[in-house]
Amino acid sequence: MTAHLWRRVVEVLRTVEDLGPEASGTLVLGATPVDAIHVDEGRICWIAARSLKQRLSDLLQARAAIPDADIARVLERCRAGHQLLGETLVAEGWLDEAALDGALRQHSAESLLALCREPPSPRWLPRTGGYRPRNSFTPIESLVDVGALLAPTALDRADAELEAAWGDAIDAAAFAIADGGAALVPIIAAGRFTVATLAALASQLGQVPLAARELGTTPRAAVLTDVDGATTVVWWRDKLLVSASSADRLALVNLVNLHLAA
Amino acid sequence: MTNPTTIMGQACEDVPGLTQAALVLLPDGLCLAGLGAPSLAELEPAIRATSRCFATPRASDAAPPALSECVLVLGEAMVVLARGRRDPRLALVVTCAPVANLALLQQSTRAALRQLEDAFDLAALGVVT
Repeated sequence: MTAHLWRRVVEVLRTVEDLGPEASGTLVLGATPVDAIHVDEGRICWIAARSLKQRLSDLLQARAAIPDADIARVLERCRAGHQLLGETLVAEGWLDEAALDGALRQHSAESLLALCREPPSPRWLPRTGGYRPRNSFTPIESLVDVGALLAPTALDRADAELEAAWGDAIDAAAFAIADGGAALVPIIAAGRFTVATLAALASQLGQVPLAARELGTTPRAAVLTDVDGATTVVWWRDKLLVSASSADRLALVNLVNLHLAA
Repeated sequence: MTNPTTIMGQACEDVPGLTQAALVLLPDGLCLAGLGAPSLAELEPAIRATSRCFATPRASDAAPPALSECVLVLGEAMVVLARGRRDPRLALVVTCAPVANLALLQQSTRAALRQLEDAFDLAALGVVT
């Protein structure tokens, strides 16, 4: 992973976010309209890349409890009737809704990463009436999906670390420290984040591991205060950085005490 | 002007468990005064950490609010990096023994930095605005 690839992903998803909650249409990223993000009322319903055309079928088959012979028959029926494979597998009971959603999100994340390997030149083509998709997700969900693809081994650990920070009043995020600290890649975000605010937080937090490295040690935790008086608690586990911020001072004090006592 | 080390000593006397301190000029990372170390070399890691911590993040239109303070909890010490409110070119880094009262550590460091901002006239030192 290189920092510039990650920056392109963030820029593209911020473009989607900036379209606003009413926007429906296609954000073309490549030379042809095939390489694009399809947006319905501000939510991403599909990201397509020519190079990954067959990939969704593989992901769906891997998640569906369906024998090879049956998938071949379903595929044939879908082609003949112009039906979507994922929705057909759900309708026939081979796949549940959550597995379909997972496959679509993984495929979209892989496609976005593929599209950002070259500098994208986004062009927006609005569409009246939208796509009315069965499944859709927000740009911030797409961002952490891409992050999780780039740092899959950190995901389980991040889940465990964030358990201590869960709370209604807390915005928590876990970042993989990539490229020797040159980039913080978010892999989980819980709370009121947008792509813009999470990118800004990553930029702010990115300075702290570099400062800690100068001291020749990895701190147990850090407490950061910005010029607006907002406080963020940060802690490390190998190449994982976890942050939690809240307007509820007591929630943060409890979190700090947890790390002071560790 | 009074000896910088004396000024540092007076400003930081209420910081609990203080072992070392340095007043740093940003963004260059020049040490204006030090405390608790026989040589500047010993303060150098903390000075570099301060410069790193308060460096301007990479240009972005999603620029976050700048950091004003960072407390690093290490195993055997706590390090507070604080940036001047009145003059953000000044930063104080203090290293101290682990303390249970984090708020006290933060408040005393901020108070020390306020005193140092009063005492160190950057224009008189030839620092161009």
